Amino acid sequence: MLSKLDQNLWQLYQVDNTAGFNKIVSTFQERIYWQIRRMTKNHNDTEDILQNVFVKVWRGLPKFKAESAIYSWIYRIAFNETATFLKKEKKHLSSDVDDPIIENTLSVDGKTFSSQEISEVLMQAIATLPEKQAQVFQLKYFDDLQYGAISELLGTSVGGLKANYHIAVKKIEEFILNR
Amino acid sequence: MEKRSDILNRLTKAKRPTVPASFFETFSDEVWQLILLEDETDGFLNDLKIKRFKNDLNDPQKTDLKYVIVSGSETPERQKKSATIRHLSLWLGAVAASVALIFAVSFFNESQSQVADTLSTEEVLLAYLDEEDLVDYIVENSAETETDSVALLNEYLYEEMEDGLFEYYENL
Repeated sequence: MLSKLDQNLWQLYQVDNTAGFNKIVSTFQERIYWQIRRMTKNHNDTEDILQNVFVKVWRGLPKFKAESAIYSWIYRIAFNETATFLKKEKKHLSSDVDDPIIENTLSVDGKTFSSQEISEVLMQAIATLPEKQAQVFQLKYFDDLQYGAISELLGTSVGGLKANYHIAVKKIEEFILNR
Repeated sequence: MEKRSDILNRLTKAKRPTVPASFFETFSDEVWQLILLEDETDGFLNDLKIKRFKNDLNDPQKTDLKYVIVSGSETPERQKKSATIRHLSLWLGAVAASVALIFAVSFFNESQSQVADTLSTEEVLLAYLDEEDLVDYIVENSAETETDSVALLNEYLYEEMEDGLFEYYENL
């Protein structure tokens, strides 16, 4: 079932495609931007990917069945688009790279990770999570959203979100410990 | 001793990197530009595909399908683009024809000058004589043209022999 946010967006799109699409862009662009930028680590690549993502959203909207949350659908497009880009551009590393997303070092089980290392391990750990858990984790951990807001975005109950987040945290910590 | 659990709480998230000013305000315009650009490119490619399709499609059973696809593509904008392509093709065709014509003319002139170089005025005029006159001309000329020394000597000897024989028979 669609959340109230999605219902409004979907209705607007059906009445006026252009206005609906513009509203979808303005609603989700920033969250999707940061999701991509954590993976690409620079603005220019992020901008290119984000443009492609929303072009695909525009092309895909007439076929969108509204069976999942609009954010989840865009998140999936963005994830795939970024993964494809990184695979292609692996050899062409950008010289302008963002600082690590974690600024302190971490010592665990006698092993010390630099901020750069733990940032990379964290992103690798997120990439191993099922899609729903990855979405919930990123919205809660990086975007600092409350469960209520995440529920509105993903159309999932708060209880379900808490369970997803808890499982995601455990898996990530396990991943880090095994490095 | 370091704790094994609660790892994420021990991590300090860095501040988000900067984003160019008013990036999010203008982003949807950039997306629209890209969408329109892709639409234009797709339109151009579709025109080419349809043209090719029209050329390939000769099966009368498919006429209806051809009509549907072609008529569906003929928006005024696309008509304008196909007209541009047609003009371009015509222009290229005209250039190619001009180049071919220049080559043909220069080749023809060259051939003509070669003919003029090799044929004398006399030979050209001979072309207008009828067969009988032509034979007479050749016979006369070949007689006149035997002007080398051996031929003259032979003629002299024959004349001498002829005169000698005439005197011999006269004095008998």
